[in-house]
Amino acid sequence: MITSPTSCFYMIKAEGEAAASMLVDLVPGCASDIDAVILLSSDFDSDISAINSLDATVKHIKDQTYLVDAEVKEEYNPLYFQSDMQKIDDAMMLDASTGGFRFTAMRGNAYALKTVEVMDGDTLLISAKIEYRPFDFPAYSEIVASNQTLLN
Amino acid sequence: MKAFSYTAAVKLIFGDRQIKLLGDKYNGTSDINVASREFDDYNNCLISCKNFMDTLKDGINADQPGPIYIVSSEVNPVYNNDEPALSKDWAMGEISRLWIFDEAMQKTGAIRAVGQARLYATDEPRAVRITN
Repeated sequence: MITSPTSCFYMIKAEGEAAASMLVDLVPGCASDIDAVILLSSDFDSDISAINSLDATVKHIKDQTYLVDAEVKEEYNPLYFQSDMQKIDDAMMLDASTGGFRFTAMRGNAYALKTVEVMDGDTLLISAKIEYRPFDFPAYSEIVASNQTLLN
Repeated sequence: MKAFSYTAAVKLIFGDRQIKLLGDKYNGTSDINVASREFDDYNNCLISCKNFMDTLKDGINADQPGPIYIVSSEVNPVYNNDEPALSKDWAMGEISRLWIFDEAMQKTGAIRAVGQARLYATDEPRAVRITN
């Protein structure tokens, strides 16, 4: 498990009707003219605060749109949560060219803490992610050591 | 047949101060970026874009006690009889720009913008391009 030393932020992208619904309070005169909107958050020192804020924003968008019953897919990066070692190993891959390892989670973006997708059928209407500001990753042995459960 | 659209980017955080355009609904938002649908008519595209920028400018002015922000515009010299413009980095098909900036800074020549919108023309509407 990695504890990030940097702050984090979130980004939300809404498209189509979700974008217009998101903006209807903000710019009522032209919300229906907007095809896509991206909101970028300020930095959070606490990743818990970032998660709560993102969740509240996504819920707000869903609540005021036709997306109330839409499917929400949430995914967390196992590198930043207490997980079993298999999940952590699955989030990394040995890189033969360097002799080290590279991160495969989440979709190759190791700084991503969480992703959220809101689907309407097969159509992706809202995508969001929380991401840490870049930092130097600890060694594999440190990640393993910080994730070990002591046996009694 | 030409189609017209715009993109806009507005900052909602100045230093440590955050503009609350939507109360607490989107608490923590520092930047908002949008891309419009396509319009058949440039004037309608411009009206929509101006509406967007004016609404955000009014929200910014209402929420913060500092400088007064205004919306101003410039036109790509290519589309304006080579009349000079402040911007030099016009993109292909870009017709005009709207800015939200500190009114007082205009007089010093240094524009402190918090918002920019760019209006574009394309030769074919998006639906036609996708079909092709």
